[in-house]
Amino acid sequence: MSALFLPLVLSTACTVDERTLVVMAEEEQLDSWIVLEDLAREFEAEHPGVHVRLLPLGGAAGAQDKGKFMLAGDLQLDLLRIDITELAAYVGEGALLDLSPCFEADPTWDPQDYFPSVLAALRAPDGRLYGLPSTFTPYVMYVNRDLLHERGLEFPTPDWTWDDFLRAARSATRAADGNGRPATVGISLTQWLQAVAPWIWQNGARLLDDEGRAAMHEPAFVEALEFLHGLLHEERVASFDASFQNQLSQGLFQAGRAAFYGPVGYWETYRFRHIEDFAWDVVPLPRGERSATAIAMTVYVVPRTSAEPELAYRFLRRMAGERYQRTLARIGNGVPGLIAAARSADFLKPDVAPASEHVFLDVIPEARFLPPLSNWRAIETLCQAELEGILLVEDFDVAAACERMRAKTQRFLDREARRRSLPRMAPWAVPGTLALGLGVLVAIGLFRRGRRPVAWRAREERQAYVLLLPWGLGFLLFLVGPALVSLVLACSEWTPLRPFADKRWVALENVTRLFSDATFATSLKATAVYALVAVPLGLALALALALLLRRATFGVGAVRTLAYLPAIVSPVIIGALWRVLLRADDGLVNAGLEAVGLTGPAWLRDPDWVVPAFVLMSLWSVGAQMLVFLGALQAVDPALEEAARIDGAGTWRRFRHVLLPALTPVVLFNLLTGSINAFQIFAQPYVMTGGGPGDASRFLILYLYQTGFRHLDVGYASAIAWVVFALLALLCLVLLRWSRRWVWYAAETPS
Amino acid sequence: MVAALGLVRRGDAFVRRATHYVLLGMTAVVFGFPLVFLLLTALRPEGQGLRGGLLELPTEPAFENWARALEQMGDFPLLLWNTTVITVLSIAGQLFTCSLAGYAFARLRFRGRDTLFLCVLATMLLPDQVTAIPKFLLFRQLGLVDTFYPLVLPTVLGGAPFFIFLFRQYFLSLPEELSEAARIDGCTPFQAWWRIFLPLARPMLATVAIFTFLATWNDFWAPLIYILSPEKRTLTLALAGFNRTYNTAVEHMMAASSIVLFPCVLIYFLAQKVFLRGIRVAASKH
Amino acid sequence: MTRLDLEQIGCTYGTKRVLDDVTLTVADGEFLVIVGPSGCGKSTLLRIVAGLASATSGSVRMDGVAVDGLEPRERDVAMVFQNYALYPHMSVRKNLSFPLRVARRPRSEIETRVRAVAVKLGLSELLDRRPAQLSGGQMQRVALGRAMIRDPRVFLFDEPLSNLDAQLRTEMRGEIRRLHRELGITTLYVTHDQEEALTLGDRICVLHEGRIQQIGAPLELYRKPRTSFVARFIGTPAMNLVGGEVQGEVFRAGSLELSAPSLPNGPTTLGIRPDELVLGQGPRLTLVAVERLGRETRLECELDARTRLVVCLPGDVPTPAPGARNVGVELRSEALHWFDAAGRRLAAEL
Repeated sequence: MSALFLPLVLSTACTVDERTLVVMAEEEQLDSWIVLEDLAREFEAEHPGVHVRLLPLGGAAGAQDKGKFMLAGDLQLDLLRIDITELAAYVGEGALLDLSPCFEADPTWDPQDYFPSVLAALRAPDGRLYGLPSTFTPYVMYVNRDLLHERGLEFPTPDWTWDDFLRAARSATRAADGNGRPATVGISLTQWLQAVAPWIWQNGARLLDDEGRAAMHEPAFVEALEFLHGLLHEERVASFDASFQNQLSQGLFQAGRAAFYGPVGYWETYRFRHIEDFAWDVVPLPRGERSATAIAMTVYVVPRTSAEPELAYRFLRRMAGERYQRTLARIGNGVPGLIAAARSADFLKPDVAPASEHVFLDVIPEARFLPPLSNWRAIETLCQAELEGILLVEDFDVAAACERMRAKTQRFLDREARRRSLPRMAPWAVPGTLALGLGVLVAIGLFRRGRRPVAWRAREERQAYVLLLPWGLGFLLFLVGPALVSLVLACSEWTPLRPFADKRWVALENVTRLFSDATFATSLKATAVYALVAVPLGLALALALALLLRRATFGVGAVRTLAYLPAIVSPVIIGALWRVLLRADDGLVNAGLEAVGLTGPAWLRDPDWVVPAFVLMSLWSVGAQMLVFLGALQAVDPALEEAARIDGAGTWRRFRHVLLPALTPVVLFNLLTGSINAFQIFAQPYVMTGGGPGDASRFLILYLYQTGFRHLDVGYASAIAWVVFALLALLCLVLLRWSRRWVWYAAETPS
Repeated sequence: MVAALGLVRRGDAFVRRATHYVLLGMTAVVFGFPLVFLLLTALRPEGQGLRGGLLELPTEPAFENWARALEQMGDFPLLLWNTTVITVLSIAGQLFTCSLAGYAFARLRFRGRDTLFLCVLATMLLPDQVTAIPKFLLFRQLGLVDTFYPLVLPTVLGGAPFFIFLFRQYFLSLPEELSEAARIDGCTPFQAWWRIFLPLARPMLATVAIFTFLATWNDFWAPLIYILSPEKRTLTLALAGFNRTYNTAVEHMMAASSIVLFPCVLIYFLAQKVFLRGIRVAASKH
Repeated sequence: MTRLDLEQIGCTYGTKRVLDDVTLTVADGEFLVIVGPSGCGKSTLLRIVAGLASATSGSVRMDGVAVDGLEPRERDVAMVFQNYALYPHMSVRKNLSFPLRVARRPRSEIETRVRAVAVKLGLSELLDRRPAQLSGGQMQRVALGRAMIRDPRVFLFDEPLSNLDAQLRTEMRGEIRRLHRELGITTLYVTHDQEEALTLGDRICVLHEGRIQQIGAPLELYRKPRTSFVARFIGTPAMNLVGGEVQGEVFRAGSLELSAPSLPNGPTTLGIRPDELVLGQGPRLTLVAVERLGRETRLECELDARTRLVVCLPGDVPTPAPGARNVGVELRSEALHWFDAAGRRLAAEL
């Protein structure tokens, strides 16, 4: 067996005298990866005996998780690219090395080389510097020049105000004129916390007060959000799309149907450069009481698991150095943090749109990042639910929502502050639990002699255990063991940023927290509703399809094959497809509804319709269930149906009294697997809504995942997982018990 | 009169057949949509991917998207090789372990069998995410991170509970006398499994092989956390590279996806008959 | 050459006793048939002998050596199943040679033996077919061949003919008999068909509800059934049983009165084989139905509402029309069997 796997182990060991530098960075574009490899070879040449290993991050989706696993496993990692929203969490958990001494000792280091506000965002409250920027972007506003011109509006000046903006937005907004010219809106508004933050700051409000407490209830904060709410629901000059990853609001602008689009970062230029139908540009955000904007940024940091901090620092300087920064600028990754690179022709490409590319540099002095206090990635998700409520729902109490946002954030901050004072978990907790678990298993095996099955034989029993060995080993190693460890985790406070040994003991607090967690309640409800609707509908549709595809007429073979297709295609693609299909104004689904005289809902951006949208999607992947029904239908003895036909039974009665009883075991099978799948729905909301709008589609597993890997609260996530497990087990038991009343077996198998 | 009746009846049959084919056609269109969408998007010029109507044909099909996608993915033959190795070994492991365990649960008598089998089923209810971190730490302890072991070993040892269930159902559907005859003829349980039951389980083997193929080939999460080195990357990891932090080129992503998806669709199309047979048997009993 | 001893075999599933104190001996080279209605435990008994199931108590000995706990392979027994249990994915040749291949015999030996068995069973032309391409009789031959090929110490048959049609069944019966004569292997044969048992067995063991009712040569069972169960089970049409009571050496059942010398008082059952009855002087019956089978004529008569008697007359003879009353039936005393309340034979008959 081991011989079989030998070729699998590509050598990862390095020789003793060779020093290795492990760098995990963006592989997203071939050009930048090639330059990075160049840098590595160059570095190796300059530092004999040093080998630079470049590891790809795994795209945007992977980037957020991969490094965390490596940190949790204490694997050597010398340089890592992270998103700035997570920087504070990394720093707070002691996951990063303080580079200040290196900077101070380095004569070539000059902070003046980088934009001050960018470096400021990278500094911890105590002034220490933990890394250097990859690329960043301030939030700006994209403008459709042609649309403004057509409506007789002036192009905004850099110091335009909220009032100027509102006036322009009003005159840009038009309903469809009936001659095939689509409706236009003033602004296609973005909605995540970082994108909303500029409005708040411009209004003189703040997210946290001077003591670091959540300040979302302050009047200026509420006022800013009321302004945004008004744009949508009173002025009706804005279109807001809660769709995750912003695909739709972007699409609206791209289709030439919005005069403004923002606040949003540099990354859109890459896509908009393909726009041929109209001229566009960027302007600074309109100013309120003051001017302000936010920064999004990725940064290179040196994690605590670095084996070569010195070398890491030196390579970091190169990655934040001119050559690589200019490469990143050239491929449009963002604004280089290095001033020289940002001012170079690689960034300010004179010959391509937008003409005012310099705006990105102009607004930097007033740009800032969220206060570097806490895990903003987590707070962002917490606030997202309320923000989406404020922006989406017409009669919404903005002040109350802001208060809820404050409370949620404050609770999170309190917990963050408290976790440092929690007692450490004893080092024997994990081995102890494993030993205990193993002991219990052995004890059960030894003492619960069990009823001897019919014709039991000691020899056969031994042979059976031998055959079960491969399964049993894996079962213990990869399921029981990890499950026990996760039970320990469920009683602890731990994030993957800290070493595994550094767990804090919280007893059953994670479980009691569930009862007061409104998000969990919403999540549970959404999941239950989804399962309750999707499972029966799915069963019915699968059965109907199976009946349709039962007889082998022309073309049935091909259709049978097609029916399983949605299950083969990856959720990412399916998600992209459905986002387009479910577009509120020009999506195919609503077009179909309109054809029969119905007005379709806004689906993914309507909190009341997002769960039905997922139900709709789930109906589309009933292929597997359909195949199961089909198989069972083909196994039904045709003589039975023939007999019923001779007895004069019509189609319905034949189905009801002959086919359906024969199908009941399969119905149960599909019901059980369908319920399990429905309760574990994850991939679709993960790629399509991220849980929104509000918490409406934050299904249990998605919430679990976000809790563990976004809020970095693995203990709580484990507790949720076990609750899901218990609920599912209960559900299955109930279904099985219930099924005894209606499942009909043609021939009972002897037990 | 009689002739008229006959006409009506024939007309009735015609209406029925027409409805049948209309429904058939609708089903085909609805379920065939993702492929069409994938290909259409992949054919749009860069930046146009998700714009406008879904059904609009691209005016100038951008075949260069595929070339760009392949180039972006890096060393394509190597990616293909890695993915194939992992997939083939996973399939072999899954078939071996699950059929063996399914056979033991179906045809051998031992104390605690039903309790143990209940445990197998119960593990289906545990969300994978809960064991992800402990499992990673385990493989880290074993020094197996950045090898293919973490991707393959759980199939060889352990196997998926659902497949064990399927095999058990299948073996239960075979007459008990077969295993008794094998024993009379001198087989140990292992020999009976290898020489009698495994060859007879061909439809189920094919079904599980296809399921495993689809799952492993498309798996993103496990390779993401266990594979570090670029030279050990899989196709899905390369695909993930298209999902960029800032500027995703949907058209290239779709082109690359279609390349990765192609073997799945092909294999599914080729094997759907056996696949269907296996599913039928699995579904017939509980 | 093997002698098979079953000693006090008991088997319990949960609370249900399937076999109770079964003791019997199959002599070396003997053909013993175990017969009984379905659910009597005969298949379980066979499986215990085979080593496919284990008894709760008691012991199986082969040539005096206990084999309990040994695998079938170690007992060296061969078995033929009701549904043949051929391996569907193997050709006839592969099926036949399977036991030898499992035992890793040399290839040349396997080939000679397969050829020999195939010739003996007339399977030579079918060696490359799959079981699915064979008829029922052919499949049964293959199953026989697979059992024979190893030269086992004991042959076990589990209702091997019940899936065949009547004609084939008779044919195969002869075949099995012939093979047994040629091979002389100790054989245990299970069936629910008493006719099969009578024609095949050197001796027959009747099993009912897990207990042995009687063991003996076929005619002994027919002539002197030890229990009313055996009496009714062996022979077609089944023996007439009339429940009644003996009072002072007189047996009464409804209107029927018979002198029953030296029988104890108490509830008693009278048994008469239909073919031992003739029309003549005796109790008067009502003729309910007449079945003419050519070789014989069956009369179904009613003594009273409770009691029916079947009379079997040889040949196609003239009879009264159905519905006729006062049909006289002669009860010859040497043809009467008497059973007590527990169904045990009473020794009082002459």
